[in-house]
Amino acid sequence: MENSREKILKVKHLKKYFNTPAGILSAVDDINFSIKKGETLGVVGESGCGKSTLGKSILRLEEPTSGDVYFNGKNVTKMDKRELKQIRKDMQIIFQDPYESLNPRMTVSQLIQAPMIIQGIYKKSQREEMNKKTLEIMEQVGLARRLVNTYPHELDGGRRQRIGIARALALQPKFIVCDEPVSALDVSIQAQILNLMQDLQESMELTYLFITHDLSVVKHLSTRIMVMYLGQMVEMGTPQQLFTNPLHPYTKALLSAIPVPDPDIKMQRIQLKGEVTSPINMKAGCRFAKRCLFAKEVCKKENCPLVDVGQEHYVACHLVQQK
Amino acid sequence: MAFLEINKINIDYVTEDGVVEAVNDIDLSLKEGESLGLVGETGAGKTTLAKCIMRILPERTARINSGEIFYKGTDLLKLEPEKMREIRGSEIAMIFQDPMTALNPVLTVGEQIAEAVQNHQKVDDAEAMKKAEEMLELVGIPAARSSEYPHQFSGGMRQRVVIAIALACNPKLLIADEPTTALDVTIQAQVLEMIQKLRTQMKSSLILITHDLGLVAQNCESVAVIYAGEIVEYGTVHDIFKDMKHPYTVGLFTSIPKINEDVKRLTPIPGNTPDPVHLPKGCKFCTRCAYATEKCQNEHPELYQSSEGHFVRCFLKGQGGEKYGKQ
Amino acid sequence: MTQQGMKKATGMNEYQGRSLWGEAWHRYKKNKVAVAGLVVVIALLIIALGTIVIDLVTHESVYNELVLKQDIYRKLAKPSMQHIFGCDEYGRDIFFRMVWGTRYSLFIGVSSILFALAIGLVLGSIAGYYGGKIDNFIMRIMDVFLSIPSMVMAIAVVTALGTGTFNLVLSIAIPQIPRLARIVRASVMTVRDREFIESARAVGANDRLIITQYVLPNAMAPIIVQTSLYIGQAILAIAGLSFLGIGIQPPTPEWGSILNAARTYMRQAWHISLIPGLVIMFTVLSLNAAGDGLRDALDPKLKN
Repeated sequence: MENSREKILKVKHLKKYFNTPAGILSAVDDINFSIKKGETLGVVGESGCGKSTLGKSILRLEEPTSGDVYFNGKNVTKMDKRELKQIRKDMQIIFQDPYESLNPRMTVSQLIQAPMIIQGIYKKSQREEMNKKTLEIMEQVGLARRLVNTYPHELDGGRRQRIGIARALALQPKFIVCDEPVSALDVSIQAQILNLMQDLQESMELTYLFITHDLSVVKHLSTRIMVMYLGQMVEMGTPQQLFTNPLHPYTKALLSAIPVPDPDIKMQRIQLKGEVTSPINMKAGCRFAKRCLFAKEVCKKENCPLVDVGQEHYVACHLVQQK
Repeated sequence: MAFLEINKINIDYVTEDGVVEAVNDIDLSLKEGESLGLVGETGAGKTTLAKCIMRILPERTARINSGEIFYKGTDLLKLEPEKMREIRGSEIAMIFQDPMTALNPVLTVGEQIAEAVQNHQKVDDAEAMKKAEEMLELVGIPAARSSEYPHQFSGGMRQRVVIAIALACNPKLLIADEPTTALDVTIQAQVLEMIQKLRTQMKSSLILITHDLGLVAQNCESVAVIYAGEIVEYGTVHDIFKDMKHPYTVGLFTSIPKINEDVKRLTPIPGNTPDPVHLPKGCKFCTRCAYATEKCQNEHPELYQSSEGHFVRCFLKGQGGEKYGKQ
Repeated sequence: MTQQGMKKATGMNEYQGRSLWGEAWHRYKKNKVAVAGLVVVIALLIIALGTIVIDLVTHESVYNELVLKQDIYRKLAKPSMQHIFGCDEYGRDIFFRMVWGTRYSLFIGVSSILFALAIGLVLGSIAGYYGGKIDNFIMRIMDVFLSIPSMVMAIAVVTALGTGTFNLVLSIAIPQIPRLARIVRASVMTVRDREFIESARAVGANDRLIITQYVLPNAMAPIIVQTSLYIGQAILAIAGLSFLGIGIQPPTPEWGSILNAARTYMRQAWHISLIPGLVIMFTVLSLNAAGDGLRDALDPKLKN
């Protein structure tokens, strides 16, 4: 149990179900993992796999249906309003859409100061100090001083996302959920933001939960990667483990579908049957079985537990375990 | 005469802030059966160019200042609207980015494909419907679902319906504007594979507009890199991916994390795309280029041929690009 | 929260030179129609306040002389140099009656709608923001109110509470509450699920703060426009109540009651109905133009 001391976040049996007219949608279904301090855990999966819901349930922006989230040993899911407000200083989120996640009626400085005022870090009399701090944060995230009084709509996507990052940093958090922070940005800007996030991680000893659908980005940033399919974790390991030795058929298919930016490497795509459906009224059995090329009888009937196949490389697949 | 030839096309948008020079002196040509990738960032003018070929630019704001677009020898820009309408769909078809808004929610998908067929071919309803069902099968949707409405389909299937509509009349030229941006990777792969298959079957040409270098590498034969309304580099997919010359092209490659290589840190292009109302006087990329000289700021570079069929718009003639990449 | 603070901040140049209201005014000025509307509204306010001052100073002697004094010889007189708007059925000068009547129409119209808006904002934003059972509970009560015709409701209020200016305000305000609550609710619902609301929650903002500083400022546009329209309706509603004898009592020169009284003489003296009709119309138009301008001015997304 020596390792557990440096584990900053532990997620146990986390579930988030939604009631929909069609039935119960299990967006996050029994997810377990932990993140060590200073680590980046990448979460990949296709739209609707529950990766965003997972991030938001950890922060209790969505109330989890059941399960526990321990942050530095404290159970976030059991916290009352006051404790939750306190813990928000340590746990922050960067949103996907820099156009939607900023209040259009606030200027850049107001946007960055709002978290500090809400959390009472600065009193009314400390306006000057807060202004100074705001400029410091802006410099840290690469926003020019002259932008303090601009409105977000006057800025491009890259700068807006820098504001989003500045807002998260304003509270000096220890852990940040990054919910597709670069998906809406152009490639050249995307690289700037990714570098910024790496720099901040080093200088502020941040821990990231990095949610994305882009496998190249997740490979570039992550210490470990978790692959999700219909609300469940199907595989988890280091980028090395996943990209050189993917075990789950879904991970394999996902990897084979990425277009490689090199005309000499021709893709050998693993064809999947059908499409991702919604995890509504799920029955027992592997959720990927319907689309899996290798599915056997057992896959359709029994849930497959997550097992360690060596060196903390986890996979949930009957076929791998039978070997 | 080439299959499609675009000569010195210039398009402006008149906005409240001023005149936006969206497309500046673009020359391109496309052979029959060829697939061309148009690569560039938001606002580079890729979509504007595509809409200009289709002649569907918003009339109130867009202004085509000069240029010609020859399709099989006729200048599309001088064509009667009536004639253009016949060409649209039957000869040239376009697939838009968002499959959610491109379909009419109150018509069944079968009816929508049949309508596209009847717009260009004189066939009766039953025959058009039969053709629609064939098209659906072709894009991998069971014909039985032709009587369903768009909302009953998933995003990937809707995009396939859009493709079926575009391909219903066997167009000779298909323009696909970010056809898979809204889709997941596994679906993206399916859709592109399907477009490629149909393209070879029908021997049509393809213009693929995208920001994803991977898609271009896997699907195109030639590539044009566009920056601020100009072609900055043009060549075969090998020229661009293996022998890139322009600092911007190099910057694009160093910006993306690659699945097949490990880099500790990305090398982004510094700064932001220039304000389209106030573009730099000289080279449009000079504000972000690490090798820009005084000459670059004041004079506008012309395209030069670095090797057979490989054109670059840069005073550095390739040296800058190489240095950039080795940073 | 930060807007006032922004102005106070000194010592750092970057922070100076931009305040929400200053910019809003800058944008407002660009809209000529809105400025014209605002000028008319301010003129009406000055007229209303002016007459109140005159009444106080002269102990209503001017009022009695110009507004109430009847003169049978001037009955239904056409507009002329002495009486630019002509005279009514009792020979009273319509111009002065309109001038003195401004305060009733304007103050009662505006205050009743602002009162309805205050309650509508609270109910509508709670219903819209929380949704579910709370929404259902509030909105079903609102529906019950909506199902009663507003005139019947107003009569019921006045009958229950008795006549008087404050009760009149209430009787006009109450039927409008569910209407405004509905608009507020719908508008709030479109903003509620936007990501910046979640972003505020993520930094620990409570519901009250989110509603007042994040939801409502972004939901105001349709509310402001509807409110300015309802003020016009309220002015007409006062007229209706006056007509029934439970609004402003004669001989008080309220615009609506002047218009009502004029109906009888439409054939002989068209000017008595035309003048108050036009004045009410221009007032409503001006309020509307001013409201439109305000909506645009408060949106920083529109160009300076």
